[in-house]
Amino acid sequence: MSLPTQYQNTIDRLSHQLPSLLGENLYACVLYGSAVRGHVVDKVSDINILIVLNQSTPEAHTAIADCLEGKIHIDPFVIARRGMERSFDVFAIKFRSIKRNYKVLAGEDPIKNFSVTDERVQFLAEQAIRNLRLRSVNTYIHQRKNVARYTRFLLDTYTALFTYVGEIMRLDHQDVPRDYADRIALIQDYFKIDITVLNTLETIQQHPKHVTQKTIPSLHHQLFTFLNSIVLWMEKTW
Amino acid sequence: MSTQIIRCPICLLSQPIKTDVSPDKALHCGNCQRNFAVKNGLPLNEGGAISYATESTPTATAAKHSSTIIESATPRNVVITWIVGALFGLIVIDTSRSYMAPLRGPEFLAFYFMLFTGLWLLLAAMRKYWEDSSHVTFISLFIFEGVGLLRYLDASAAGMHKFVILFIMMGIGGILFFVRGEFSDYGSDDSHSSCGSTSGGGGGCGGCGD
Repeated sequence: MSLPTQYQNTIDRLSHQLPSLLGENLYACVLYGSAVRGHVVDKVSDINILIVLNQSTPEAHTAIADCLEGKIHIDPFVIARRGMERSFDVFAIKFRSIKRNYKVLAGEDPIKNFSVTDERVQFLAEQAIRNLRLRSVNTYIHQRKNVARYTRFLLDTYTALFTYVGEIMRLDHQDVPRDYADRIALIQDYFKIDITVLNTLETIQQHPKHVTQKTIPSLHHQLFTFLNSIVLWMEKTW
Repeated sequence: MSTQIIRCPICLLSQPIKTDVSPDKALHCGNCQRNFAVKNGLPLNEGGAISYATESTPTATAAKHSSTIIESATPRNVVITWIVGALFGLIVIDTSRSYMAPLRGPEFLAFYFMLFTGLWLLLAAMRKYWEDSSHVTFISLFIFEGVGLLRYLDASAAGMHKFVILFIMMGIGGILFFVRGEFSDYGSDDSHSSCGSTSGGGGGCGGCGD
């Protein structure tokens, strides 16, 4: 699937501007996420980039911030080359996810040698799901009357949820489909839980304006029920 | 006099600065075109900044800096420097031309040496009291070379043909101007250079997807 023009132009601009601006400080710039998977939803999706700096400094962050300004929201994941191995460990799920679909825009390939143990992934996946459950409650309590904020939370949750749940299934050597929509049936079959929220989130991803103040309580109910079921599954299975 | 090498905190390009320069002095990086304070510059190596004496060879230093020099002179000062420098240069060259016309070769070379010394002292004063930048150095250089070039043209037209010593003086003098300019630049408040989320906690994934 080809990228929308604005997205492609933004990526092309980043490919040239970041190396030019950061010079030898830029160790690597990697595109990942929906722009690589081909799942970009025009005007909804972010552009995800991993930036590895030889020296991560506040001045470099400011320069990157200036470079990333534009109509399309770019979500940068900026780390230093020093201690990169430890970042791999701490953000192992994210890097596993990146490694499945990524494209080096500039510099070296920072994750070609990345690997992590199943035990660590298991621990991080449980931590992430529990954290997501906490955040879902918190966001509902504080933002249930703020439709825009709650919608943003749901949009962010959409990808996070499929990522974490996908990792849990991969630990059991499940063949997880690349497309999120295709995963829903597998998730239901694997966990034996209610997956209504996944279909709902899929719809919201395409039509964010479907979220209204009236629907937020039921959305929270669906989401919390799903996350709770996953946590219970982990407690029973692991 | 000693300098230290610091690197731009954005693109890591190196540039030399004098060790006693103010930590708050703004530097400009010629690569990423951004400004940063001396105190925010990065040491050459992780262990700390490297100080070293500036006794490098003039030719090598001149060659190194001639193509990569950057500075933080304000545009206003640059314009004033060049306007005043151009007027001064015209006066010097015009005066010198009328003065040196009747001079014989050795007499002119003595005059030329004195001119070099005078310009060199004036340059030092300019650096100290006005603007310690490469612009001042270049203006002095152009005046010095301009006088030499005019002498060559006028003397050639008058039938003289031995210019070897003049050319050597023009060459060495030019390099010394430039090298001297660089050393002085290190010692000034102006800087020159050879420089060319995760959200979501848990696994640290905030929406990249897989």
